[in-house]
Amino acid sequence: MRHIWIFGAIWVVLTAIAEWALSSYIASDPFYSVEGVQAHIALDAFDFLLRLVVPVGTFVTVFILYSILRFRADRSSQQDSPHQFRYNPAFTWSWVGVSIALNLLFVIHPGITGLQQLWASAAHAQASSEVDVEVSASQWEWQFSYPQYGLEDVVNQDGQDELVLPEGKTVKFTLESEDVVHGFWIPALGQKKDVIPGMTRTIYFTPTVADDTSHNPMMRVQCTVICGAGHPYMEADVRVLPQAQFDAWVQQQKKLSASGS
Amino acid sequence: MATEMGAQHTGEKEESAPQHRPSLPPVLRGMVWGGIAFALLNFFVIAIQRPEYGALVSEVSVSVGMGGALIGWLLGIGGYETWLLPWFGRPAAWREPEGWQRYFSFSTDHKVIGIQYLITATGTFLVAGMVAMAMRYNLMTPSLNLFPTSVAYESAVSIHGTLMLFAVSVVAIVGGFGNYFVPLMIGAKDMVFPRLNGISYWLIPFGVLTILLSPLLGGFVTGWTGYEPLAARSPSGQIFYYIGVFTLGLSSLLTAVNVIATTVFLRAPGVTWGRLPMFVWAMLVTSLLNLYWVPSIGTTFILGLLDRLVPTDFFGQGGLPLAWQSLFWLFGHPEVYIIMLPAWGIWLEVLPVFARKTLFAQRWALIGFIVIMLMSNLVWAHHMFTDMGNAEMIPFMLFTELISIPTGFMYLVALGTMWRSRIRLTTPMILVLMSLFNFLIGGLSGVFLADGPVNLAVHDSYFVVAHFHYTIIGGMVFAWLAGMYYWLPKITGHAINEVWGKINAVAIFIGFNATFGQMFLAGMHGMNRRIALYPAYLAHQNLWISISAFVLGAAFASTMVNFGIAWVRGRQVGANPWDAKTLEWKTASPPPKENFEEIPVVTEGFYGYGNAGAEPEIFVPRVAVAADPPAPPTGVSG
Ligand code: HEM
Ligand SMILES: [Cu+2]
Ligand SMILES: [Cu+2]
Repeated sequence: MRHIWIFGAIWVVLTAIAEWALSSYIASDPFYSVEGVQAHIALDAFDFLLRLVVPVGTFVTVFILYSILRFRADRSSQQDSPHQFRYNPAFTWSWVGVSIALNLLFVIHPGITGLQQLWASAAHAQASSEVDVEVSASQWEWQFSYPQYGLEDVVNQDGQDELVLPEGKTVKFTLESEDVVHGFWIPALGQKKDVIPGMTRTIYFTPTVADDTSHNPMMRVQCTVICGAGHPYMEADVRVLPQAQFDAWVQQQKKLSASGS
Repeated sequence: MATEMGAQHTGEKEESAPQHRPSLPPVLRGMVWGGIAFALLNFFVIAIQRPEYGALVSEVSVSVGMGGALIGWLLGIGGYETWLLPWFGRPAAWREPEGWQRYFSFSTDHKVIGIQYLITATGTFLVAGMVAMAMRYNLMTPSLNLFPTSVAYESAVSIHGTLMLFAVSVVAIVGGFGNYFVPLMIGAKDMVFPRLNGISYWLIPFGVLTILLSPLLGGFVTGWTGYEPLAARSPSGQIFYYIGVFTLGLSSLLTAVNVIATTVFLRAPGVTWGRLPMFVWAMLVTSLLNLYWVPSIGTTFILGLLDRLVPTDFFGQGGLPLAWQSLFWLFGHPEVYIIMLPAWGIWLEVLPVFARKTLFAQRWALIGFIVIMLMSNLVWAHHMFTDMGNAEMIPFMLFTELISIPTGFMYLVALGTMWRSRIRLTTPMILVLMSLFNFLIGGLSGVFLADGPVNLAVHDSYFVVAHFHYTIIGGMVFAWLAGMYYWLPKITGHAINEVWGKINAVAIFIGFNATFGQMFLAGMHGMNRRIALYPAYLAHQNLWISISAFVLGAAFASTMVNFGIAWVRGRQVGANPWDAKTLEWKTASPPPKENFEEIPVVTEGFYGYGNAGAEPEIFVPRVAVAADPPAPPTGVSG
């Protein structure tokens, strides 16, 4: 019995220390940069899981270390352990019970609840018909059009494709591919979706911070599915603007496209 | 009955009358015949096709040529005498060479074949590892440096991944230890189908070379997953991916047939199902998975090849690009259990021996094996969360979480066995404990990937790269190395230097965790997979990952040197240096040609130590087991 108590005490103490260390890790943001509603949903799920898997991790690790230190045979002895047992129902069934409970919990929360939050953010956008962006992926370029404003394949001053988003609004992205499978990812907004040729996909992002690629490289569009030679540099700059500036940008783009054509 | 079958085979071999040796050494003859077949078929197809610009090869001609080359190679290596002639009613006129030449020729001896597999897997591991070193060298800076083009780098990733998975992970333990030790552990003299076994090995070098030759046709950029429709636009090296993987798969399939038949029919008296060693159980379950899923992936790869050659359009824009992904992962996920089950088999063999304690809750490990086998095909779409409608994610989230329950049983059994044991920290034991730890991290990171919202954040990033290296290197490669330290003395008769073994194990452990631990962070930091260049802000992290990777590479290399030295001039060991109980330790090291002087008769299970009491009758309902002395709850007397 003594071993159980000592092991249990070490496990509890180490878990407490690990959870405490985790708090500061979580405070410093495991995802490095989270600047959107959907990214927060993912991050919350991540943090929750982290807190719950740590006791599991410490249990197994402490168990291994404890066994090595306390049950180590002295060099000379080759004898079998005096404690032999083939089975222990209490240990076995608590193990089975806890693992079933934990895994089912994870499916429900943060699994299904997290997905529901994602859907809710999408439903919100559909209800309030906010900004639509059409994304066209091809080897090896992202192109962005804003059908509501009649803007096609917008570019910045340098002629580079650029994604400009209003801060605090949910944006609906319609994704299409002209050739192979690509992956539409904005790391700082925390979600991605594959773009499959012949299919139309949608994904919703709600950026909450006015930021851009030059200040935060995680605020960029990045292709995540290998698509050939240009895959690594199939990226595009992103700028999230406060609403007023976004409106100004739209006006300016409209003028440009009018004068351009 | 079991022994009779074994005897029959050996009798057959001795009868075959007119034996002559081929004029060329078998490997050379195989190359010559294969080369001739390739040339003839290639030019035949070219003559029909008449490609523009007078090209001497086309994808069709090369594919057909490779088919011929495979047949020529297999015949040349010894298939002519052992397969073809007997089919036409002629005696099998094949005399196996003696000495080291045995290993370079067709063989029907499961021990020779096991060594062939082990050496080939080790060599492939080193080659693919060198490729990984080159990749990490390139990633030390944000721009291209070692590789001239992005396509060259992507081809390197593809070759590294394809070889590591299809020619190392699924081959090393199953082909190497499985062939060598399944017959020994069940008290048989050989496999049921020795000639099939001989052929199945020689498919491996062909498959490996095919994949390594892909740069000749421009390499291939799809990675090991071969996603369509990119594969249809990839350089022509892509056809070598299909042909190479198909050939390697065929080898796994033949081995599976053999392992299953051998386990069913050749067990020595007393090796009941309930007493079957855990490693053999693992081989059996793995082989059942192979039997089921390798034909599926083989068919898929043929469809992929046809999409390039004919071209049909199964997976292109006129077809279903997503179908490739589903078909690929329908095999691809069982594949990860094909990789891990053998590793768990090694855990469960090594732990009781060095803990000097009875295997705990053995029945639960078996339940785990079987439930995993049955469920492994239900989770494939967790590789495709970014491809599906939201609601479709839920069932796959559920199955993925559920399959981690039987996976956890391996830990239940391992930890229960260690509790209140008398641990001897030998190198194999240390490596198994490290494998337990690494696979724990791999598995716990899998919990994150199984979660829908988190998956959408980190999928296709270095987080995933870290996850699967933790499971495959951390779990399987560490267990494989443990198996090497544990069983090489049996295979070679020579002990391995324990001091160096431990130093190397610790170095690998540190190098490994430093390399792949940091990759989790890189992934969350926004680094996507399969890229030769990356945004500058990731440079610092990548530099440290690369430095750690070089430490890991050096530690692996040093381990191989240690093995090599032991093989050549290690101290002689007796039959049972570890004081283990399974049957392979009851015969000399290395075992004689017929394995056992006489077929052993087994009267008790292999995992009972000390006063463990009666073995559980695993296939009898619970009530009948009540005869067991009531198990003392853990730690009651301490
Ligand atoms: C020796 C140390 C190793 C290092 C430093 C290493 C490093 C890497 C790197 C940098 C990648 C590219 C990841 C990406 O961009 O997606 C990669 C991919 C991969 N590695 Fe390793 N690796 C090592 C050993 C192994 C082993 C032993 C295995 C399996 C037995 C393995 C299996 C894979 C697979 C399956 C891929 C994916 C390839 C693909 O994306 O198609 N690696 N590895
Ligand atoms: Cu891409
Ligand atoms: Cu999977």
